[in-house]
Amino acid sequence: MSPNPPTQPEIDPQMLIRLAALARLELPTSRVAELTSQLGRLVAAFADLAAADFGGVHEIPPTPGALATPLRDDEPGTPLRPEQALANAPRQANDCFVVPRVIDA
Amino acid sequence: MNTPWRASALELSAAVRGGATTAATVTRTLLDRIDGPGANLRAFVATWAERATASAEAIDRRRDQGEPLGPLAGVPVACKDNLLVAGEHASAGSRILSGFTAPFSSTAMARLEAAGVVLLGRTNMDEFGMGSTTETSAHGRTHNPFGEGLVAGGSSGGSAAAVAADLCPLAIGSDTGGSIRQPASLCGVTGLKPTYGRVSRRGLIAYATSLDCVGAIARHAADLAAWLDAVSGPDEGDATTVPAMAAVSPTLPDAESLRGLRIGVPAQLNGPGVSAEVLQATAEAQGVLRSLGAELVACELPNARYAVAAYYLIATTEAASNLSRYDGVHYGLRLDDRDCTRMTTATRSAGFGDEVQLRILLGTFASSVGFSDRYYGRAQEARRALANDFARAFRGCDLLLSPTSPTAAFPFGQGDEDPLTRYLWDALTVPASLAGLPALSMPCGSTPAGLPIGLQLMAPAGADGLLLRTAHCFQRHTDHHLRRPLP
Repeated sequence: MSPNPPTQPEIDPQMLIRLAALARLELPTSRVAELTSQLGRLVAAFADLAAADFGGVHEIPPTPGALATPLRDDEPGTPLRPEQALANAPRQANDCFVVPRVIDA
Repeated sequence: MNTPWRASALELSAAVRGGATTAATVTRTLLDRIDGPGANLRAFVATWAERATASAEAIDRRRDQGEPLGPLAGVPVACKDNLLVAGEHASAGSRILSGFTAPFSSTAMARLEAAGVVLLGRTNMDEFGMGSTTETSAHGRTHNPFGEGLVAGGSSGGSAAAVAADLCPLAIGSDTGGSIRQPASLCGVTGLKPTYGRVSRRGLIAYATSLDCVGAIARHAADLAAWLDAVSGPDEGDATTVPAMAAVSPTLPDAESLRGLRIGVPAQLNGPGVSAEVLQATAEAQGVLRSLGAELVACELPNARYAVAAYYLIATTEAASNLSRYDGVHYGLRLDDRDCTRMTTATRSAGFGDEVQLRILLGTFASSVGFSDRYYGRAQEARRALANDFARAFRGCDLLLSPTSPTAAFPFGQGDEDPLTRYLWDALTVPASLAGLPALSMPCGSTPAGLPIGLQLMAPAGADGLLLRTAHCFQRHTDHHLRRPLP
């Protein structure tokens, strides 16, 4: 155990709404209390882990047999053809995905 | 062949190749079975009758022309709804991918089709792989063939139910924290999660990139060996596939003995939180393994106590990143495009189900400024510590053993109120996932009510073949994997 366990973050409705905005989710008012409670309970349950001391083990386990991030030559691969890439587009025009205006006039 | 639905994948292929039956006949029979006795299970989201019939007829023509065919030629196979098959819909169980048609086939499914299988259709799953019951799918719940109103497990519940109900002998799925093994356990069939990096993830709709594995479910371990041989190997389309991993033979020796095999029984995975009937069944299975010559030894995985927390912090952080691609721009659902933020928010809020939204929120929390070191960072340390535990355990034994799931199948709706209850169901399967190790679940008994119970075997990285050989030997001396809930 760390000698100075960090204080537990409080999951309150304001934090939940901020997290939802980051995740581009809009939560119905009717669900805010329930989700605040659920998320709070999970974070509280994970407190042991957050406070644990693993003796300075920092590395992410290597993929078996791979000792380093695999690299490849900087050669172009075979991308999807434009019509393949656009085939599922909700809106498309002139070989482009159409999106709403992103810059205010 | 009067009852092709009772044959193993290898037996079916041998019958097709030898002319005892045709792939077209077998395919038609199973498609009828899916619509008949299997209709109420909702194991399948959709069947691909035209494609399946055309593939089957092509196999029959190749056989008639004397072409050599492999051990899976003509085998009808189901594919989880998160594995792309070119030209077919894939939705990962989500409304947000309604109408999405795959522009290419996943490497795993492409290799299987090249091996001559017949794709019957796509199977139901928890949305984006997030769940252990196949209750969160936008397509409805899958029933366990051993009891209507009971969960099939998840997230590959449709695949497990399909095999258990003899709708197909082999079904492909994915396993991130137990999503092959746990439904296999609850449905009384055999499920394999290979070593991470053995099977390409290209074309698998991502949940958690460092944990997702393509796997398979069958009644027989021998069928899984043939499947693994067909799909394994490096893929330029997935940089995490490992080039130098020990090959797995497509055929398993009919060993009579497990003499010389040492199997560790980690205390942390063989007691706490597991129901008495599951412990009883796995104790009996240990007795069988001993009678076959295996030596069972006690061992420890001290950091397994952190496995559920580590898994859910890492998996949801990766999921929050992976699922950010669903924004209404490139594919799938699109709502309210008055401006970009409104479009993305409205699309995601309506398109993702409740469990997916909760996990995205958890992952967003765990990776946000001020919390990421303490939660996501600490979870990665726990992951390495657990991998070290496994490495130490494997110095003294060849395999590890535990129950696959703390309980047998249970009614729909359990755990609805409390996500933590649901997440603890994964306590026995997430350790191997975190360490990237191969793991298998095979039937080992049943409850007094007749519900299946699964035994999990875990192996060092790359030792998938040892898992399969051990399971095959066990299955040659037991008949739990032959229990059939439907006639």
